[in-house]
This record gives sequence, structure tokens and C-alpha cells, in this order.
Amino acid sequence: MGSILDTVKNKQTNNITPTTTGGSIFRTVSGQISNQINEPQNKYLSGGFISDVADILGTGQYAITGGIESQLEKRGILRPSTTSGLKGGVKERKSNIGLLKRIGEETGKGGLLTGQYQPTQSVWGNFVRELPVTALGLAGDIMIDPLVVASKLGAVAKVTKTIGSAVKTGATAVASNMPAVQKIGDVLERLAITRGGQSEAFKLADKQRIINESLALEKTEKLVSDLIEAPSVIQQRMAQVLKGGILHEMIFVVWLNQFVRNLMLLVKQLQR
Amino acid sequence: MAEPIRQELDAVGEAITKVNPKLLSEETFLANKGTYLGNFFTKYIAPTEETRISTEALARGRKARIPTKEFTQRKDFAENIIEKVGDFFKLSSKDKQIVINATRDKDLPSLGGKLQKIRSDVENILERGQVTINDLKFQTSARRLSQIINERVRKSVGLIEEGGLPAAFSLQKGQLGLVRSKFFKELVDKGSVIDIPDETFRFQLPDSAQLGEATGKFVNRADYDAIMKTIMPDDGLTKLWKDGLRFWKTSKIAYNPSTIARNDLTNFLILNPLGGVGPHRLDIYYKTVKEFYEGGELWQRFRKVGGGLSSQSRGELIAKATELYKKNSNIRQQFKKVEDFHKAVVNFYGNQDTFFKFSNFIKGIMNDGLSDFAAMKRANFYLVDYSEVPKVVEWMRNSPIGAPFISFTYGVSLPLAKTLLERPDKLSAYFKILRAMQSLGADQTIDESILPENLKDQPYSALQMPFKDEFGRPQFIDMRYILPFNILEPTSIANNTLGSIPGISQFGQNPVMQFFGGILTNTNPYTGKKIVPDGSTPGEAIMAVIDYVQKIILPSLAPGIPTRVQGQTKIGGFGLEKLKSAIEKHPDFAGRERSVPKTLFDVLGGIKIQPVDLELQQRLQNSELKKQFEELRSQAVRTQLSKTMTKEEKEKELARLRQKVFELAQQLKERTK
Repeated sequence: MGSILDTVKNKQTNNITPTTTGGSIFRTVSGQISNQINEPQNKYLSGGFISDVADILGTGQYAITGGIESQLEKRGILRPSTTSGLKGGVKERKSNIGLLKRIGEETGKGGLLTGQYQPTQSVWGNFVRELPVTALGLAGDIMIDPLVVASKLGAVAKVTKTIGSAVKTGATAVASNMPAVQKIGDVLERLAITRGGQSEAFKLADKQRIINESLALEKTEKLVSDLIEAPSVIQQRMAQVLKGGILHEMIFVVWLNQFVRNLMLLVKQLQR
Repeated sequence: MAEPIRQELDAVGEAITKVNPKLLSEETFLANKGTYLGNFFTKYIAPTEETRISTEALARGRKARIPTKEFTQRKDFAENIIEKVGDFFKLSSKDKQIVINATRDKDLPSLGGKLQKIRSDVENILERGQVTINDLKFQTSARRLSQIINERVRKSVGLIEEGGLPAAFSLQKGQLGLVRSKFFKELVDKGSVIDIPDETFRFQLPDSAQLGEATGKFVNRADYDAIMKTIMPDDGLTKLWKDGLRFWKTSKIAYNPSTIARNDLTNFLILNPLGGVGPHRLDIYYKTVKEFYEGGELWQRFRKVGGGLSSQSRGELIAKATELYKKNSNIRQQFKKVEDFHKAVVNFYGNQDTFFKFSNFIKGIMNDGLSDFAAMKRANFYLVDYSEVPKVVEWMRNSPIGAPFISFTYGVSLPLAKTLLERPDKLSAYFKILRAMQSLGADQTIDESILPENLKDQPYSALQMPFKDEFGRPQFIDMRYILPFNILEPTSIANNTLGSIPGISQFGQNPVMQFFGGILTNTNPYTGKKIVPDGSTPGEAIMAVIDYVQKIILPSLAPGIPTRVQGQTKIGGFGLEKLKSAIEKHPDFAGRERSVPKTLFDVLGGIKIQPVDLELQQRLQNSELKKQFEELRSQAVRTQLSKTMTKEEKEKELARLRQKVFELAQQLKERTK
């Protein structure tokens, strides 16, 4: 039983000794581990959810990159490896950036386009030198991806549309034969779809109503903003006009009166 | 100043008489044309904040009165007084006294005839409380009495003599009444509302003048719900809750520069490009800025199809008019500046979304040949339209147990899902770009297994930067804070609340859940640490809880009540705490040691750059791994020596432990490879 810590220590020094005897469950396990240590690492679908989505979308590109790598190995441009080929490309999430760098490393050709440079202490210097190989590799990743071709030709949209239509037709058929399903469908539509269940005429009219209400309110704001910001005295006079208490023409007299009064106050203050 | 308002009031009134005579008859309108402006009172329209809250809390949802009384005859309070007690003042002094005595003493027998009728009228008036016996005794005429009562009531409810607020109120209600009357008429004309119910159209609309021709008619269920929502405002408590929640959300979004920056990045780099406006289209953005500030033709067209319209403008105008009225009346003017600032912040935030939608609209019109309506529809689809969400999303964003920010998540999910189904290559290209960015730091090789959990095995959501920091530590950008990645993959913070199920973590952002969840479990859902540390004194515990609660409430950069927790002084929101830690060169609440510029980049720019000390991580994890092995070893010994377990149970348990050891050993293998 005490061998567990020894096993851990051994592993820390990367010095694993397969031991399948001795009766300890821990020794048995360490044997199993050591047998797997030389297998290529499977990175595909090994990250979080987003990483898995990226892997699924990038599968075609990974495979083709692996395939290109394998061809380069077969033609002797690159040294043989166990991780190339369609399957290896997917497993290792192969990228053309990595492939270009490998070409550079193994052939010494390509200069900055294959990442051939002597790293320096300058972070910016290294960064700038990495740009050509990264840009070229990225362009390669995008261009050789069969998903790009399929999407641009509309094939992906066609497939998903066909599947969607089939599901919809099936669901409608089931719902029309089973009232309970229809009811559940109606409730779900009302709850989970924006404006679900509303008639088309209603949707249009209601959207227009919302816009019209906002525009009308803005118009109101423009009309009344001067009045609501006016001094109390002016507002009181305006209220009288709006209520029909005094004629609109009299406003000038009121304003003149106010003006003269203010002028007098100003003169008094100046005199002091 | 008054003339355009007068004309608009008359125009609106006249239009209503034509579209919906039930709301305003032609006779009533003509009788008051050119003179009408309703009487409004401080007590009802501009109450103190305390009165408003208590009144609203008790209010029950009822049909909105739009506009009914705004265009009908103005009435005096005491108009019927003259009618009721007119005969009393015609009596002789002696008879007046008899009537007064009779009303004072209820046991007195009927006076009979005319005097008895007058006695009943007087009793009736007295019961209403507007008139006292002394008024009857000392006033000389019914008209005089009427004037006194009018003055008295006006004083008690505060007649607003200034024209601004009443004009704003009347015009606004009139406009709403007109728009809605036209809307209901259109529904009737287009057959969305029918007279005789059938299997689908079986929900009867209520009797209400504002429904016009649609009153009492039948609609389908979904249309009925929408109409009732339009004409029935929320009841008092719901409204108070929604107002409070909206205010809290504003404090967490509009007052948080990092959130605004992150939303802008998402719009600029993801959503607008998916909708057709790539980051390289600087020409479109230039045109957008120009039109936006000049209010040009495209801007006007954008507005006409609903772009950039504030959903809160209805309340805002009246609030502004009320506030200005109060200012004139010297009531609560000290809050004016605060409210102006708040409004400016909210507008600034709202303008960000409007800007991106407008740019998409311009591209739709100018480059893609779309109609105004289609361009607006596209802009609303790709750049979140908060006003149009399904019922379940609306419930979730407003519910005390819901997910307050779900509408952003929902809004972002739709264009992402559409792109995934129709043009997955676009999304795939993003991932490739992110991966390429990481490869720029080729001189850095990092053993992933020793990274903190939230950065481990996340090649896209935890992006390794090509540069190390000043201490030679590798740095990561947590993309789950920037892009809509958090929809699919919660941050480590969310893991501490409701698990790592995508979407579910949204519920952990609810302030009620945060409060009760945090207090009940004594765990801060943001940091996963204990709110009240072990061994705290009662005083320290109170301080810790205050610090936790104020962090839930306060905007990120706002100062709060200073508290002292575990020997450290806490001063307010999360952003402020981060800045303080950076200035003092201490690890922040999440254990990050960052420089001031990097922290500013986070709290103002929304980009979280996290340096990782690899040596420290290695030591921590080795020590952790050793502990776990020790624990498994003791469990295995206990299992093997157990007297109560059967042989099969022991084998099963040992197999489980074996698997655990296997997993741990694999981790170690990864690390030492």
C-alpha cells in the first residue's frame, strides 16, 4: 500500500516502471497508465463546450491539414510521424500554422513564412516575426476548410432547412392527429416564441402602434418642452390661455409687464 | 408657446372624435374646443415620493384611462353645491335656523314639506364633509359657499396653476388615446377582432371606451393577452418590483463601463459582422456617426421604422415635467442634478445599441438593397432587440426568481443559432482567428495541466496572450466575459452558483438569489469564498455581510460603506475593490495580482487579463495531488479492513478508488510529460 507515494514520485521524474504484481490496486493502476504513455494524445473534443463546438466545426480542416501533412511525409519533404493523416489531424487539431512551422523546422526553408527566425529577448520583435506564418497559416486554415465551401454554396443551409422542414411537417402531422399535442404545441408557441400565436395582422399593427406611440410622445415632448421649462409666472399665464381664460394676444402684454418689472429691478440694483 | 400646444390639443381631440367617438364625442369636443385644459392637482399628479410609493404599492391593475377626462368638460368641485343648497339660502333666517337645528339633532321629527326636503339636501351635503354647519350659518349665498368650497378643496389637493405639467399630461394622454384608437380600428378593419366568437376567436375584450369599435368583441388568445397587457398596467407591487429591478439592472450595466465596453466589443466583433457589417466597414461606421449626430435623412428613416425609440419616453416626459414643476414649487429640487446625471448615463448606454443597429440599418439600405422595414428587422435580429422577447423570457427577466439579464442571452442566441445553421463557416472562422492569435506567442510553452481550473483546456474561451507580463508570467484573456461565450460556457464564477450547465447560471445573477443564496450558504457566488470567514467575531460577521450585500446592490465602481473583513478594508463595488487592490499591490478578491493599467483595462475596458504564476501553480497542484493520493490511500485501507462491508461491496468500492487513482495519476502524467 505504501507504494503509492513512490509511484507518484516516480511519475514526477517521468520514470514509470510498470508493475502489475504485488497485490496493490495502486500498482495495477500505475501499470495501466504506463502502457498508455506513448499513445498520441487525443485533443479533439477534450476542452469545454465552446472548444467542442470549435472542434466539430473545424473537423474538416483538421483532417485535411493532417492529410496534407501525411502527403508531405510520404514525399519525403517531412520526416515520418505517427500523428499525421486524416485521423491524426483531427485527433491533434492540426493547423496550417503548425504545419508551416514544421516545414520550416525540418527543411529550413521559407524564412518568416514558415516561422524561421531566431527568437530574441524582444517580445515585440518575436511577435512581429510570428505574424507572417500566422497569417499565412490562418488563411490556409480558412481556405482549405470544406465547411467554407459547403456554406458558401448554400449546401449547409439547404441541409438544415430540409431537416427543419421535415421536423416541422412531422410535428404538424402529429399535432393534427393528436389534439393534446396540438394544445401543448400552442402553449409552447405562445410562451417560447416572440409574439407566438398572434395573427400576422395583429403583429404588424401592434409593432406599428409601438412605433407610433413613441413618435407621438416625442412630438409631445418637443411641443411642451419650452413650456415646462418656463418660469412659474409664464406657465401660469400660459395655463390661462390654454384654458381660454385670457386671449392669446394678451400674452404679449403680460410678457411686457414682466419685462418692465424685471428691468426696473435691474435698474434699482444698478443704482445701489 | 401656447399656440402650437393649443392647436395640437384641438387636432388630437378632433382626430379622436373621428376614429373613436366612444372616447370623445364630437359634441363634447366642439363644446370645449379652443379652451380646454384639464385641472390637475399636486396630490394626484405630483405627489411626494413617499406618497407615490405607498399609493402605487396599493394600486390594483385596472384599465388605463386614456384619455377620457382629458377632453371633457372641466368641472368645479362645488358645482352641485349651488344646486343642492340653493333653496336653503332662499329661506328666511328663522327657517334657516329650523333646518340647522333639525340637521344638528337627528332625533327631531320630520319637518314636513319643503323644509324637510331642504333638510335632507343639507344633511346630504354635510355628510360629504365638504360643508360644515358654520358654513351654512355664516355664508350669505350658495354661490359664495361654492367659491369657498372650491378654494378649500383646491388648497387641499393643490391645484396646479402652471400650464407645463397639465399640458404635457393632456397632450400625451390624448396622443396615446389617438394612436391606440387607430390601432384598435385597424384590428377591426383587418379582421383580427370579430363580432361572433368561434373556436379560435373566443376571448372577449372588455367594455372599455378606449377599445373603440373593438369593445366587447372577440380575439384569439395570444392577441387578447397582448391587448390586455397594453390596456392594463401592472398592479402596484409588480410595478414597484419592476421599477426596482430596472434600477438595479441599470446600476449594474449602464453604470458599469466594463459591461458597456464588452457589449460594444460583442456588437462590433461578433453580432454586427454576423448581420453583414464587418469590423472593416469603417465607411459604414463613419456614415453612421455623421447621420447620428446630424439627424440626417437616414436617421429620420431609421426612426420611422422604430429605430432608436426609447421605450421609457412615456414616463420620462411626465417625470421631467413633474420634476420641473416641483422645482418651480421648490419641492425636492436637490435631486434634480442627480436625476439629470442618471438620465445622461442611461441615454449614453442606450445610444450604444442604437448606434450599432443604425449602422446595420444603413448597410441594409445602402449596400444590400433592403427596404427600411426589412433593414430594421435585420438590425433588430442581429443586434439584441430587448423589446421583442417571448413570454417566458419576459417572465424570467422580470421575476424575483428569474434571470434578469436573460434577454441579452436570448437576443444573442438567435443570430448565433441562425449562423450556426446557415453559415457555420463564419463561426468557424472566429475560432480559427482565436487559435491563430494564441499561436503568436509561440515562444511560450505552457503545461496546461498546472493552470487554474478556469483556464485549463479552454483554447478559445481562455485565450493565451502572445506577451508575458512584467514578471515573466504568461497571461490569459478570459473571453467568457467579453464575447457571448458566457451563454455556452459559464465563467468560473457561475460555477460557484448554479453549476456549469449553460444558461442555468443566468439565474445566479438574480439579486434575490444572490442575496438569499449567499447568506444561506455563506458562500459568495462570485468568488466561491466564505462570506463570513471562519472564526469571525459577531462584529466582523456583520461587516462581512454588509460588504457582501452592498456589492450586490452597488454599481461596480461605486463607493460603499467601508467595512473591514479579514484585516482588509473593503470600500465598495467590485471594480473599485479591484482598483484599490492594484494600487495597494495586493491580490484582489479573486486572488489575482495585477498592475494598475491592467486593472483599469478590466474595470473600464471590460477585458480581463489574468497573469498566471506557473511556479506557484505547480507547487499548489503538487501539494493538492499529494493530499488527494493520501486521502484515497486511507479510504482504501479503511475499505479493506472494514468489518461491515461484504466482499462484493469492498470490491466495488476498491474499483471506484482505483479509478480515482488512475485519474490522478493521469493528471500527473500530463504534468510531467
